[in-house]
Amino acid sequence: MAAAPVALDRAAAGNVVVTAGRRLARALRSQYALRARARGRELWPTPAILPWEAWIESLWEAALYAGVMLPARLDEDQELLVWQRVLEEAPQAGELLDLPATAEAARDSWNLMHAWRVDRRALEAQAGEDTRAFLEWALRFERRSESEGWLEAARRPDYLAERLHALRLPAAVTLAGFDEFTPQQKRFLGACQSAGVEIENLEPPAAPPGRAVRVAFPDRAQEWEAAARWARGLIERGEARTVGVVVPDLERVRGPLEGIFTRILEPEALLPAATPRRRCFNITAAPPLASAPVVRAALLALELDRARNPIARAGALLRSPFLAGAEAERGARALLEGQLREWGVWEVSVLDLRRWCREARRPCPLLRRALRAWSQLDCSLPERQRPGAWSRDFSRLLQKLGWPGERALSSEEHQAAAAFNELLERLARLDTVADGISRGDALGLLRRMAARTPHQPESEPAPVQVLGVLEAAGLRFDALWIAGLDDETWPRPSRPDSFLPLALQRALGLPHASPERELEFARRATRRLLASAARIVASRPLCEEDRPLGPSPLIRELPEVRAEDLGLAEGPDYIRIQAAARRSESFQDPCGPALGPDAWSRGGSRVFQYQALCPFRAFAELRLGAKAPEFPEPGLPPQDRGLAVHAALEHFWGEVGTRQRLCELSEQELAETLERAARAALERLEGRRGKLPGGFAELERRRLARLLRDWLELERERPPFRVLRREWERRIELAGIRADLKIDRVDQLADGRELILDYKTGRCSVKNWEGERPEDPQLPLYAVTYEGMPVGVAFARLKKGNLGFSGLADGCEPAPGIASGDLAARLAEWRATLERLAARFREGRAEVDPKKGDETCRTCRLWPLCRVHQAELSASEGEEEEAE
Amino acid sequence: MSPADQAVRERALEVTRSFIVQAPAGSGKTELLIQRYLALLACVQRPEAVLAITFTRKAAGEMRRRVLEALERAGGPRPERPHEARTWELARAASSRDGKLKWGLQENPHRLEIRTIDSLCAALTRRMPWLSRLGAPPEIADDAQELYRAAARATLALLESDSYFEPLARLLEHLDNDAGALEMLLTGMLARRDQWLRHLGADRAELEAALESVIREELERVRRAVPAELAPAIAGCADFDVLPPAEPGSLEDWRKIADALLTQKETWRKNQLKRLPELSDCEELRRLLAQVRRLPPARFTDEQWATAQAAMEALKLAAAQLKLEFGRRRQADYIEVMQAALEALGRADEPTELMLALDGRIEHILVDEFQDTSLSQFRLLEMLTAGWTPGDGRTLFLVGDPMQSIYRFREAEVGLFLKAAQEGLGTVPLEPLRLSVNFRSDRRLVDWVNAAFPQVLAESDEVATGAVRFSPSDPRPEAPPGLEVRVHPLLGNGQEEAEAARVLEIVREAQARDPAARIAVLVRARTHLPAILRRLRLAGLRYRAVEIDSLAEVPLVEDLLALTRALLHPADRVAWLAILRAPWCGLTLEDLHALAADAPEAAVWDLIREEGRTARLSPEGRARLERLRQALADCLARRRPSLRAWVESAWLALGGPACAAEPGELENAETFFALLEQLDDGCDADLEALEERTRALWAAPDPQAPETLQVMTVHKAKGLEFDVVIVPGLGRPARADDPRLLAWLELPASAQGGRLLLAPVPEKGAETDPVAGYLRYVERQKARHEDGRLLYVAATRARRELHLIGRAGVERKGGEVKVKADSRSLLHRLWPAVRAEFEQAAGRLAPSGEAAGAPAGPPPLTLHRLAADWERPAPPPRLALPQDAMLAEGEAAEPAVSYVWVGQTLRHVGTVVHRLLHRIAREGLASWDRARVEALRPLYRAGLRDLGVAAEELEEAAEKVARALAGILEDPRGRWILAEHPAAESEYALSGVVEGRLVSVRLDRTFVDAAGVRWIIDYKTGLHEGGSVEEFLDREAERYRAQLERYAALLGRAEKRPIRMGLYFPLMAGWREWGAPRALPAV
Ligand code: SF4
Repeated sequence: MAAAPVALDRAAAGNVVVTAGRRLARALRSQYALRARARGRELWPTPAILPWEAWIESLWEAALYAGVMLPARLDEDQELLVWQRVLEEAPQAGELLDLPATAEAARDSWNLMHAWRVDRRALEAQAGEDTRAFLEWALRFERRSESEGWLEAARRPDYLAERLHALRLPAAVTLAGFDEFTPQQKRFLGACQSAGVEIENLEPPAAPPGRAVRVAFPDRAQEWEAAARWARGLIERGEARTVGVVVPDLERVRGPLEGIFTRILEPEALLPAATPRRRCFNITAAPPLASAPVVRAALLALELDRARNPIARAGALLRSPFLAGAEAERGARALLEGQLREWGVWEVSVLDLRRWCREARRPCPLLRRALRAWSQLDCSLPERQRPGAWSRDFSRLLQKLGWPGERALSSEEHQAAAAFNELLERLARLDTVADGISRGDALGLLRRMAARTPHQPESEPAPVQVLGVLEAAGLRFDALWIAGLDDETWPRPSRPDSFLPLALQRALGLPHASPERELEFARRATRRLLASAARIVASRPLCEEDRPLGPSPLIRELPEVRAEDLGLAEGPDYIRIQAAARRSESFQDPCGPALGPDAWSRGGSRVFQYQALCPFRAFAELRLGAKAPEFPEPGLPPQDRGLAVHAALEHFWGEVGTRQRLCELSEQELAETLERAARAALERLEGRRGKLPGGFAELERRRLARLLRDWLELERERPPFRVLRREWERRIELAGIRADLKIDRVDQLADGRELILDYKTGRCSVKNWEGERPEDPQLPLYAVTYEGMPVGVAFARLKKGNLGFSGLADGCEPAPGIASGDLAARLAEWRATLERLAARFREGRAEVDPKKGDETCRTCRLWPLCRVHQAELSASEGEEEEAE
Repeated sequence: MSPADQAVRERALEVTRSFIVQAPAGSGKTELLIQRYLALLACVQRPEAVLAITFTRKAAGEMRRRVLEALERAGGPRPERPHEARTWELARAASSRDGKLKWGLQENPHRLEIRTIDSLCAALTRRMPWLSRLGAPPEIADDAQELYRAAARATLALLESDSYFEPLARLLEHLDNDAGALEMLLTGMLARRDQWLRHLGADRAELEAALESVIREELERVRRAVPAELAPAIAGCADFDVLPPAEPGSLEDWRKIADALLTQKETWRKNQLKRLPELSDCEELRRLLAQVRRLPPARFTDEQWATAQAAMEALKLAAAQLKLEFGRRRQADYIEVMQAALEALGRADEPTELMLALDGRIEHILVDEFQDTSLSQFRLLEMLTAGWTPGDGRTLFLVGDPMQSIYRFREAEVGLFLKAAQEGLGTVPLEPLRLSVNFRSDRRLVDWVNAAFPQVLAESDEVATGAVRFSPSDPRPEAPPGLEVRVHPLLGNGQEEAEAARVLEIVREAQARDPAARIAVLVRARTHLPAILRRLRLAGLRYRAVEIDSLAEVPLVEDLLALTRALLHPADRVAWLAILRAPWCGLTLEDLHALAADAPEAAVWDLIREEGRTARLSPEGRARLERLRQALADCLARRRPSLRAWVESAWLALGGPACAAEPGELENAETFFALLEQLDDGCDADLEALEERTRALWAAPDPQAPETLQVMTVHKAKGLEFDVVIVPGLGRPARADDPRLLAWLELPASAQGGRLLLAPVPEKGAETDPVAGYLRYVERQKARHEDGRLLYVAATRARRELHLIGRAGVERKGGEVKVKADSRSLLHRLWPAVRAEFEQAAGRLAPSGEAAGAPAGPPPLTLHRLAADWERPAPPPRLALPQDAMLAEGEAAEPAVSYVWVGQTLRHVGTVVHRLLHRIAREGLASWDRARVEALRPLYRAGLRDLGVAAEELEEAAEKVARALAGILEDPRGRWILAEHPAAESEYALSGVVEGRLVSVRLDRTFVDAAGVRWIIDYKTGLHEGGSVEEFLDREAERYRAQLERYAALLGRAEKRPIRMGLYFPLMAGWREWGAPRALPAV
């Protein structure tokens, strides 16, 4: 009979049953209970069934409290930190890409070395530079632990083995689920035996022949789907109560796999607000705790920095549902984030954030309060302190921010939050190996712990279990599916340890050391798996990405069947059901409602520009207020740099006023005036979007002064003029469109006539005034709505390397680059064009018709809304419908 | 009949010699590679001694598969066809070796060392974590763009630190303070840092020496090109008596000569031609003189140099930031791994380390696609073969075709192939071999290529500019004559539609000739395709577009992206309006306007829920909106643990899959979801990255399209073959290269003096700087050469038919019609071969003007949406669970009251006390007294330390333990608990089933007292803080009541005694007890 019932008998007889893994221990305990209950018992002494590591630790604790003097145990976090410190002190280790991860790798080698009792002298004899470096670190680690009286897990079994006489040992130990024993385990067990413990190892039973088949699928996804359908079929037909699905490399594929199993086994859970029901399946590989939303939010909140928070982090906090007032202020906070992004804020301080919480159009008082409380605590914290003290303060900081939020947590969230507190606890335990550390270091440690701690909400055992190859050790199922048995995956490519000499690893037969070793491992595991159920399917994908795959050599002997013969549960999945239920209609919607009679337009001259570029854009941005979030980058965005130039010139001409005055300025005066103008411009900018970091502000000041100086050279060459108006705000009405405009500047020439100027810091061309759909109708608009006729309209091009004027004036050349021409005729043309555009806008015309196709769309971010990409497809679909 | 180059093929199998093999298109190079691999296997001790390096993972997989198949077939009969028979022989030998030495290749295919260069580097660094300084192997980011950007951003942030301000400020000023531009430049540079990192130390003198040597060499070439008899006349035209020397100092003089002789357009001046008619034969001289005008001056200005230095400084910073970023994310890119491998090999003292790392010697290396090798890869090979000497039994075998080198954008340097052929690789001399038989194409095709391409490719090989000479092929002996190559000339502007129509015509004709023919439309750039694809679709033809459409432009995915944005960002108004307009909701503009127009600052979701607001919508709109509201309400109330699950649930709730026009489209949704999984950051995601990555992914090809019509880029088609190949868009100009922060050029080793030319990005808005200009010119040369090769690749994909379609401009001068291809187009390269056809076509052109083809305006946009009364079908039923097969374990978790974490020392004290109470109970009270408690302090300390109590707190905590224990021993209650009783147990582990769950408990203490009452006692180590002790104890009793009563319930199952429960507080000698549970929980 199978191993399990024997193990249960042994446990009942009082043996300690030691398993190879936690999962098997758990399964045996559960089976023990089922059996006990089946025999009518309601209460029984808990049997001693535990995995190997737990057994060793329990012996250790017993020894400790029995008074055996032992070194202090280092738990995993403590040990890793010690390794990390050792590496930090080692010469040149600072060059390592990721030192803590390397420390972890060194620790793994150390574990391996002890588990396989690798002789250090042999190591030294064959050492290359990498091994030598490792040995050097190991030596430091060993010395350090010795002087501190620590002992890490790798050496504890050996240490105990020598002190067994002082322990109270069980009379008999039964081992279950072991594919192989490490030399260290063998030695320990040998010592136990010598100390009078009866040791018994339960071998896996031989595979009953002829129960397993193999089958192939086009890709992995289809393979997993078939596994899920197979499980479903068996359970539904009552042919199995427990189905195992073994997937190599389970951690890597957990996400997609879970998706598929959910779709097949618990489709209703795909919908929101499905009331949690008992799961039909569970997957042993757990995602890291750091990825649980509530924990992620906690880590994010702890990263909050007094002075500098990148907008991405600030935004995530603003939108996090796990902070104080997140529900009540959801909309307001999101709008605030959008506002910050629109301003081009790429980094924000807590102080500014607090200010904006107050000043925003929709204020966020709850957040502001939380941030204030946070600030008070934040500035009272010391530079360095012990990890335990940081644990306490981290918890307090989170409390100030109202973590984990005002909503009641779901059970999953609650468990994650509780697990986060355990992390804090673990951080505190580092007190024994670390002195004062900085806040950043403490947070780094916490983050790494969160990243390496798997977390899975407790769930009830489910009939379908998805597990990795190792986790399946010793388990039994009614039916078992083994996926992924292609010739790339199984046997696996060898993955020898990085620090131990390869030749030695091979000679000693260390796990993963060589292809031969992997083959041997795969063989044993396959044999064991093939014996662990009465019904077995081994499957494989036919290709991975674009590489074709063959069957694993280990299953080549199995008879191959077709998927159709496996008895898979049939029926489309939910997505196909929905797709099949498609009932759709087509419609055209090129026009929105007409503009009301006295409606103001928000867009100013953009009404005309957008209507010309793409009518939909005009409607969506100006009538619907469609806005996409910006992604600010460090430095001033182009539009802000443009604004700064505008503001600086505005200020400058406010002081100087005329060309004559400009020419009279001494070099010194000019420099000072420019400096003032640049400063004023920056102040204006900062008033709008908050303080600029010093470096950027300084550079922008310099740039403005330089640019303006070059520019004024050009202005000097002009015939005399007086700056009549600057940043002149006007209300206009054209063909029923009322809009607010701001004219950058109007010059009065010597003859009293007026020239309209528009500063341009980006690309511009007078060609864009012309045609049915002028791309830049701003100046034409100013001109046709001007009271009286201006003498001309012109761009003032303020782009580095391209300074100058371009435009049109009525029979004169008020500045170099402004052509003389018949302005009146042009005004008439422009007016007609603008009126036509205005009429269309008023009518609500919103055709998706970008003037220059892709090129026009590139500067517009409305594409998900306008559905322009659908235009590409609609032609063919139309035809199909006709055909029907 | 055996092919003409049979002898060469045989020679290539000599296992004692090293070769570099040029294998033109269709020459069966993979077969040769496999044959040699098998031949080598048959003569080594371990299969790992033969290393084969392929360009892609796919190629590695295929090669492995073919080797395995050959080995398997070796057991079968000898095949008929000669080359198959040869493979069979070789496989037999290898297989018998395998058997003799017990390699078990069939069982363990991983022993075949067939890898990509990236996987080789990864393996090397894994073996040399310290020497490579890579440490624990980082995860390799396939798309490292985000990492580069983050590093560039971090570099810009250094502007705030005084020590780095200067270089960054200088660059920013150079770029007109456009930080975004600098960020982009840095990002772009980081993606190719393997090429420039080593140049960062360059010093001015060295660089200027390089400039000088370039000038000198060019001038020497001009001097040499001047026919001796013309020298005085040529010197004279610029008023010199003799030709100026070929010295940098004379550059200006040479320029004068060039200006005197050449027009602005680089043709001979008419008057000079009249004077010196011989000039018309001096084409080479003309070309070189034109080149003189482009030469940079020999010195940098101080200004230039300062900028160059700032650029180098900034790049250093950026590279350092990137390393930090890698460390932070535990990721790295392929470049990092390759650089680390190179470093490790450089650091390793000598081959012993390498042998240790590789577990033995590599004796033979085979490299496929060698023409696409980058400089770093070349160096890696040099290092791997360091110390090899001819005749020592180790061999190198490089295969490729320089004519097919088309990966300049991935840093492939075809010059390296030429160099290796000339000089060998490292210490290994290579014998060049050339295959010539084309097994793919029909006779006429081969002939056409042979005739056309000598003019398209370069006249001679040149390492520096990657110029490659054409090498002709022979048709296979049994090749049929086949069809003529067809050139389809189009003339005039705006020919997209005409071109598309022509493509359609050709496809139809080809299909009519042979319905099973495999047809491919190959283009240089995807942007050449929209008109063609539209035309094909309109004609009802389905095609497989391989990596043509961006995922982001598939409407289904666009909607999903909008949905993701909307869920994550309540204020993303575009996204919110978009999901209201998407097919699942389908509001009209009228309704959108009614809903949202008057509240431009509000979150749309708030508007949807606003009382009364929806009444403004049309009745149908209201119903549609209500459907959406219901679907999303639950989603927005709570996030899911993963972003994918969250978005998918919303999508399903809305009826997203029902909006797919064809079921095939759903595959794209799956691709998008997989991306969400990758970017998931605690059910949030960086939207910028999400959008970018979506854009970088490809839509799946139409699953219903047949294999017989495919559309792809020429790059993608490399290595494939088709019956009919159509290459449209030849007349389109190529995209200009992106600007680089630092441009450089490494001169071939033959140059004297410096080897490196270097120039920073030109100042924004300024004239280009002459050094940068020169470097750009050289780059353009390289690009032109590659254009020729791209054409070669495209043309040689065809087996039977080749169609070339391109547009040329027409110029009319008087009665004369001139046709001209855009100089940046492929057509320009191909011009010598197709000119005649174009001129003929121009001759046919009506004198009035260009071929018609007015661009049609877009058709009105037709939208789709689910019917107004559409109802979401219910999901299929879940799997019905069978009766308990397993038991739930443990107790259901209860939400905590508070998530504040408090210190732990006290709890640890409690734990130690606990353990000792257990021991006291076991040993019996009699043996315990105060003295013993005191004496055991070291034990308490050990226990506390073991639990993680800091050294400073140990003493105090141990004191607490001692005090507590002493207190208990003096407390009558304590003594009573610990005394001997009937049926006494401590730390008593019990299990039972309660409410269907397996419950395991550990009772601190239980016994039956004299009155026959069963006591269940739990130790609690709490200490009260403030308030009265009694209140504290009451509170605690209340808190633990349920727990103890559960114990009681459990125990009550087994025995019928009356039960009392107690809580004992050893630290404060507190006690609470109560009687039988108020109500037993049901079983
Ligand atoms: S993306 Fe293009 S089509 Fe859509 S609104 Fe903008 S400009 Fe118009």
